[in-house]
Amino acid sequence: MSSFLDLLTAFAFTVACSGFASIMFGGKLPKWWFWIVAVPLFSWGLALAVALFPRPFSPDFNTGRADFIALVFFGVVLPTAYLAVALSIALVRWSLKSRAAKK
Amino acid sequence: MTFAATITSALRTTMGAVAQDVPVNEFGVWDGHPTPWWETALLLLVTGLMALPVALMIAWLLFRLRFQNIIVTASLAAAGALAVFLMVRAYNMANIAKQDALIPDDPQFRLMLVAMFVVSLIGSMVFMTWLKKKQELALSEIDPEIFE
Repeated sequence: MSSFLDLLTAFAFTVACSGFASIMFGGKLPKWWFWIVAVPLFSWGLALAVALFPRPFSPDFNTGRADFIALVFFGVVLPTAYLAVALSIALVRWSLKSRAAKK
Repeated sequence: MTFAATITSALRTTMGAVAQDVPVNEFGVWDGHPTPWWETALLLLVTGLMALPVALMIAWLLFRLRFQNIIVTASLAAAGALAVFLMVRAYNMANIAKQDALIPDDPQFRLMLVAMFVVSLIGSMVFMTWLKKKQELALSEIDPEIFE
């Protein structure tokens, strides 16, 4: 139930942010949005779910610490790593395209 | 079985010792040490940024409803984002508080709320300034002769 709620929160966050961005971009999202921004947004949504619904306390497990690690992973590590890879690929693709256009 | 019981017992004792020595905060403790400052700073940054999209949406809605004073609208948007977060958290917090897992006056949680408010406020102010400039630019492009 909890992981379903986390996924639902992440999905709702991604859809809400994309909808808002679509309004800001004049009703249509740019092509790069889905493969560059959507994944970090979903990851941020998961981090938000961790902050919104912390794990119940357990005497055998440091739940607060586990929440902190999940928050840092989904909020910082995963989006940063994904953006680094996706932006590098986008840059290479863009430079190849512009080189082909010059020829 | 005995081995597992020993491990569990040791863990319980460790957790008990941790709870006695270090003030428990929402995000736990590590090896009996208080949370380092850089972890707190990282946490504040992440939680602050997570509230930002909600604040921007509220700021945009208020802007469309003709609340165009930057400071007032940005403050309302930041407070709104905080209120949304606290409302969703309230039910969950009540459950956790029942188990006495958290101290009632958690400084880290309060810091997190302050970070959310500050990041949302600054973000909303920048966003409102951009919206205002965009609106002024759009208005300046209208030919005044069409009104004559």
